[in-house]
Amino acid sequence: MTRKTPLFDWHQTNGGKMIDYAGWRLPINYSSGIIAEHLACRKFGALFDISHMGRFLIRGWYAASALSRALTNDPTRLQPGKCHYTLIADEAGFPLDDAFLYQLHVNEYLLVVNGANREKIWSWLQDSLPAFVQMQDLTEQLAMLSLQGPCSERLLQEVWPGEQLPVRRNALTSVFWEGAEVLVSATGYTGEPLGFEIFVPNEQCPSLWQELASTGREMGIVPVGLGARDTLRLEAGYPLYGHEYQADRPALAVPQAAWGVSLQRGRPDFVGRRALTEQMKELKNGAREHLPKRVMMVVALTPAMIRGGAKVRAAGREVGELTSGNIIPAWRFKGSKPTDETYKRAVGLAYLDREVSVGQRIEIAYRKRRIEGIVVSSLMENAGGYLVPRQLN
Amino acid sequence: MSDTKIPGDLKYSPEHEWVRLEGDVAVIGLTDYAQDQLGDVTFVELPEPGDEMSQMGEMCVVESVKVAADVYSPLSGVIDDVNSDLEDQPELINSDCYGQGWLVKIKDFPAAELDNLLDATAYENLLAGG
Repeated sequence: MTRKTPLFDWHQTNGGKMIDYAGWRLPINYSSGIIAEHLACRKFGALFDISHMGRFLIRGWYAASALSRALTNDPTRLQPGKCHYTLIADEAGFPLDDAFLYQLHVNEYLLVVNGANREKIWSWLQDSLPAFVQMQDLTEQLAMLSLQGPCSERLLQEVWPGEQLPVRRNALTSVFWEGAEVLVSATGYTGEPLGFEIFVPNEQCPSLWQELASTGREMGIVPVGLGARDTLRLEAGYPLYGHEYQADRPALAVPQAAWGVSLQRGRPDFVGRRALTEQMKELKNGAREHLPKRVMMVVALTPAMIRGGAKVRAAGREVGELTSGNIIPAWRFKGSKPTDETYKRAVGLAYLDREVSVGQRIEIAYRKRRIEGIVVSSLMENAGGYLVPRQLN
Repeated sequence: MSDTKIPGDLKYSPEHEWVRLEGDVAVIGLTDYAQDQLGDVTFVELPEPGDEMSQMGEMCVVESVKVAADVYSPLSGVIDDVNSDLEDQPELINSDCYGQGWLVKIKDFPAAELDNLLDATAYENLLAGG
């Protein structure tokens, strides 16, 4: 049975095109469409219902050291009111999921995992963590929203005037809505320099969402569905489990994985440490025994569509395949400000042989076409509050 | 789906293309239902004038952000013209599917094949039946 978030009725009555995703009924887009939603996020802001993400409360004496054995990042480096990216890996250094770990209090953590991996990670943690660590699945009690984009901070300041909101990336504060505690973290999955994720009890979720949506509308902030959530993360080069991360690919083949792996000396042993240490070594010395390929960003040089699964050739041989791809819109910028003009380009992430380097020409075989492309380091650079598309030569 | 537009003067294929006869040429496009299902169209790969089509054979590919859709030719014949505006503005399929968002024109089609197509009422019934 597909689950409904507390905002199901709102989505349906506000033009949401509902689809099944990771066992949940969610909008892929609203009536203005994926492209308009993508562009609105980059110029003004976007409001997402991401209640399909799995949320586990983990607490008790020794919760930190127990989590430190199970996760690739080191929870003992957090403090209450901070969060960080982490992977959950197996002994072979392959990813089971990528996740965010929030420290709420001393000995109390919230782990946010991908919706599609919720059951898998829940039972893996049940088996991995000692019995005296308490686990509670809050997914169906505590809703999760995301507010991203240049105007997002101003909207929060209007909704919670004078309250302490998270300032630095990966900070977490708590505010109140209708008497209930609401957690706000400076995190996100769009690549926006300004963005927040909001944890609100199911009961208070619809009224908070309504407030964010109606006050946000005046600033150009719009509700955004799963379709633009995917194109936004792809434009930012962010990995998605099941596409870039795969259970049979070394975790550190994804560049962002390095943010979520702590191999510091003195840290007690954790699941996957030996294999991840080998991968990290090869990342630095160029050896390819454990890490033959890496995920890189590519752009098509001619008008074309490209999608995940397309084979990639370079220098006359096959070097890998796309893991994600789509045509993505962007604003034309004048200096650091977006104009009213837009353009589109085909962008992909690809799992490519380590020999392939940034700037190299490639050929992407999508359906019956052979599309010329180039490997790029990134599409964006951070300028002021905006994401500025980098000029490609 | 009550607001889906189905002009009464067109013929339809069960694969959600429309056909409009203009003299001895058939203009072909995607229906309002099809463009709505696809969502934002981002790329169209059209055939070349002179290409030969067979009824219900592959005609072109329409890509949206969500999905790639094979479009099947509702008639056999020869491509007379293609809508090259779609190269720069594929979104015309969303904004004006029965007008500026047309796909191709086909000539030399067997008139008998028109009988395989649906009229507006039959197409509406097809959509209503899911």
